[in-house]
Amino acid sequence: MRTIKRDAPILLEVNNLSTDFLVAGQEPAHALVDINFRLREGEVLGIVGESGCGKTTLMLSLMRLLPANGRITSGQINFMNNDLLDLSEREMGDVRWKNIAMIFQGAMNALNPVHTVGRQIAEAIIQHNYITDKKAVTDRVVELLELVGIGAERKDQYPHQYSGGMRQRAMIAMALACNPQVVIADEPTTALDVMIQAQILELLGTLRDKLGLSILFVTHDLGVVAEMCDTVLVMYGGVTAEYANVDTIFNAPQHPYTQELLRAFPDLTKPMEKLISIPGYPPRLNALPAGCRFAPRCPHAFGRCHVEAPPLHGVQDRHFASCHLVEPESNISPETPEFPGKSNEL
Amino acid sequence: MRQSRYLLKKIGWALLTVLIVILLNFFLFRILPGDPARAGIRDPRLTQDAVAAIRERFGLDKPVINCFESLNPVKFGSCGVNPLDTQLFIYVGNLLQGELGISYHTNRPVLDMLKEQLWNTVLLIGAAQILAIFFGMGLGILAAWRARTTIDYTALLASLTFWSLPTFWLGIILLFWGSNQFGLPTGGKATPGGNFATVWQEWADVGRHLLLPTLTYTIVFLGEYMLIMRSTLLDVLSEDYILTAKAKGLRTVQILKDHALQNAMLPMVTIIALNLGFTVAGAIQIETVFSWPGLGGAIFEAVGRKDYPMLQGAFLLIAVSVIFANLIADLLYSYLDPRVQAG
Repeated sequence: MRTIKRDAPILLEVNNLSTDFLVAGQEPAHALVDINFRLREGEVLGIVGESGCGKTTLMLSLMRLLPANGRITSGQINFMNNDLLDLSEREMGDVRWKNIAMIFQGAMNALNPVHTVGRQIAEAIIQHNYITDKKAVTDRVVELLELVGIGAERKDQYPHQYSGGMRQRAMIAMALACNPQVVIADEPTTALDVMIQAQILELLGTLRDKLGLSILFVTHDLGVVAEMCDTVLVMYGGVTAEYANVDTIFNAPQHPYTQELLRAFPDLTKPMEKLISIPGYPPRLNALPAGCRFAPRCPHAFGRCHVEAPPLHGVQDRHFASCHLVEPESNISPETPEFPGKSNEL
Repeated sequence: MRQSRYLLKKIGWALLTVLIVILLNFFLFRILPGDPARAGIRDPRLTQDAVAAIRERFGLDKPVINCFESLNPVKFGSCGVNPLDTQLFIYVGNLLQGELGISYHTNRPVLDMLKEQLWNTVLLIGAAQILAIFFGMGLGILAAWRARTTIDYTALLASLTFWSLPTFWLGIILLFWGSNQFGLPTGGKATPGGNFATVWQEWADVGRHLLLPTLTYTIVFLGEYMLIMRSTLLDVLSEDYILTAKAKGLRTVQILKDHALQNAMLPMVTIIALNLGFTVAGAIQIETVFSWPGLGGAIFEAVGRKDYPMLQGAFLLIAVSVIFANLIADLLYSYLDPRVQAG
């Protein structure tokens, strides 16, 4: 197993990021509230939660690609010591793909059906002036396709001539076109069958090791998390439920939501154990509960949970959970140096 | 290989459609009551011989087809009429030689009449269509790009208004306003009895006559093109691959140009092709209002005069242009969207 480089330099540092969706004639919906995380060089951070928990909103906020009614209301996105929220739209355009690339969920529609795959990859290379010579661009396209296991002769084919798995590979090749430091993979294996899923995950794992990529891996598959990720951010209803390294999340989860998620996931060592499902649904953004957002579904909820939203408590070294039950005697708030990333020796 | 098969298939279907249209068109005018001789019979001065002579002149003395029994292979040739000596055979034979018959009214070959009028119509509609496509698409792109802003709502309101205006009404209003305010001609293609020193002056005169009908036609079609362009472009802009293009760091103009427009052109091509086909006939209202000597006006007059050969020729011309425009659209599809050939 890979060892986490605990002292690798921080690439991406997100502080108290909040995003609202404006709805005409209504209060803005708080889609993300005070999200914090650090991504180090070579680290794979898994972002986990049910559908509708704000995972994709978080990724789109990082890229500043929110739909027209989305607004980032507060926070910082520090990428290599620049706050991305301070950049002009044009400067942000230069950061996109060159520094932070994205693999979308369901590559089915993520590729333009009327252009060849090769052209769409070349477009990214040319856009960021990585190479300009025509021959060199073609060579690079071929090199990228071969990197993800697609034959060079298929570069002049259209997306509809590719299978689902190949489209996702082509998407990965496109994401790597400008040698980005960070790759955001938004559910890259959703809508693929299990065999292809395994191939794509293996490919991503190889590329991570070979190219030293930092990956933000959005998924709701805990098996993928265990296999791929170094650290995990569990999201619930737009807030951080728990944030820790992968071993802690699986072996000593503190937040009831994480515990329930793990119980809802089959464990091969205990095949006879009954799987549970968490009753109810994640809260709708326009009807958030008053206190803790998980309280209505939480098996351990008590009076205070329904009134007061718990802050993110530091449980121990690099382990955070937002639950009243884990409140330590000395409250470690995100502002204290113990928060991950603020201190380099952690 | 695949491309040429697609091409051949489409051309084959177009030819088959033309063939069916020729047959339908032929029988349509044989089922309708009336011919020039019968119209003349009411005139007591016309002798039986004269009626027979008129019938013979237009070939109406011959049977339409030899007889239905002859279609039965067992009784083939049983009705005693030479199949080569029927109206259908003569009509198709003439058609292959490029003859469309002789007008009942003017006694001139239909083909010559159609040629003149078609050129006039193409002059009027060609100019107006190009303007309508250019401005309609431009306005549609602008509105979609600036969706839900004042620009968008203004363009939308204007286009909806233009689209719903009755063509003849707009024509009359513009005719009134243009001739009153700017002294533009009220009708026709050229100043009657005009004497021009140079070809340029003659063309300038035609241009002045063209101005108002072209404007009317442009306004009517601009609205439709704008609305369709706007709505398809908005659809395309919400696609996942547009988000990919944004994430790739492409600028807005690049996204519109390289990723949105080509995808949004499919419905536009359909509408343009259909309009081009139908407008050969559809300019009737404008041509009537502005007394423009085009195909639409000629059809309108031919209906009143029961000039069947003329109508038959015009209908065939319209049908062939619709089929041809659709063929062009089909070929454009395969260029615009590579999935079309696969499907």
